[in-house]
Amino acid sequence: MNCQELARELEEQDLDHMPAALRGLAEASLAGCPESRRDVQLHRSLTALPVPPLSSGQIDEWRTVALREAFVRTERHRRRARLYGIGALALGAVLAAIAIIYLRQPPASKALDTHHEEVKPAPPTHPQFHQP
Amino acid sequence: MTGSGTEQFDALVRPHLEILFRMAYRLLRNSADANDLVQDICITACEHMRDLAAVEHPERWLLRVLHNRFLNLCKRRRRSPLVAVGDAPEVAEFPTTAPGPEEWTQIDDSLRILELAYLRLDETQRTLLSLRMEGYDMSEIHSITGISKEVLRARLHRARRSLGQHMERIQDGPTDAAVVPESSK
Repeated sequence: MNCQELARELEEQDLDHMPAALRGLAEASLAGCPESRRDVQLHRSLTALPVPPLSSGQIDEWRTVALREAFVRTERHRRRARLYGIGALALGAVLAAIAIIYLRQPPASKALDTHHEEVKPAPPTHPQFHQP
Repeated sequence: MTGSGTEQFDALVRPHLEILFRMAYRLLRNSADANDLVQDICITACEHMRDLAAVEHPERWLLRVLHNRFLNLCKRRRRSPLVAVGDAPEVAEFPTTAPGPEEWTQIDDSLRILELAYLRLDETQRTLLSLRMEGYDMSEIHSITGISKEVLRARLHRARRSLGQHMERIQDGPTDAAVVPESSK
């Protein structure tokens, strides 16, 4: 395995998690590839950084808080959804009422016609009508 | 609801809590912040228990939530006025992801330099390196983060280079200046 192939394999998977056969090949090639060797070293140092242990008491606390909080949030969502539903119904009712009121009004064209009938013709203004 | 919720939690979430905590701690390098992050993920998991039960890899689902929450946390910290006032050390030190005294006592000098350099990486670089530390391969990291494999390769490569550069800078200069990670400034 040359350095390029090794670098490609190491990009794909970390050395300590490679299948045994591939790992053997990679480890044999590491000596001749300083860049890959440095990367592997860096990765191992990072993995060696300490992580505190997790207690079962902490897990129980997470579970208790999570279940309670999730229940509260779900209830809150439900209540909000119910409120939105009632709001939507109320808005629908108001819109329906407005539509009914609008439809019951007399048509605007009739009102215009009656107005036309009441309009008197303008008095003649031609000069010949004013002659004695 | 609580009874079945407890059972579902124990079946779907509990087996992955250790890895979630390890990942959260690797990302933040601080116990209190890691605890809060995992708690937040547990709440999200309980709210979406049906979705979680339906997915093929619950662990990856939970890690995706962790990744997103971590990114949001970093964004929030960057926007926080407390962090923005970088000149006041007593203010700047409070919301950072720098290790607390408890963590400092547990590690020696060379690891401390590595840890400081690691905290200077941006949030995506830290996530990628942490996932690699947990042994995830490229395909798994792709399915957790949603980042394409080509971009992942490039970012991982850049993360390693940046880590090396930060370590060199920290070794050359005073370590106190490096307590606040770049991503939090």
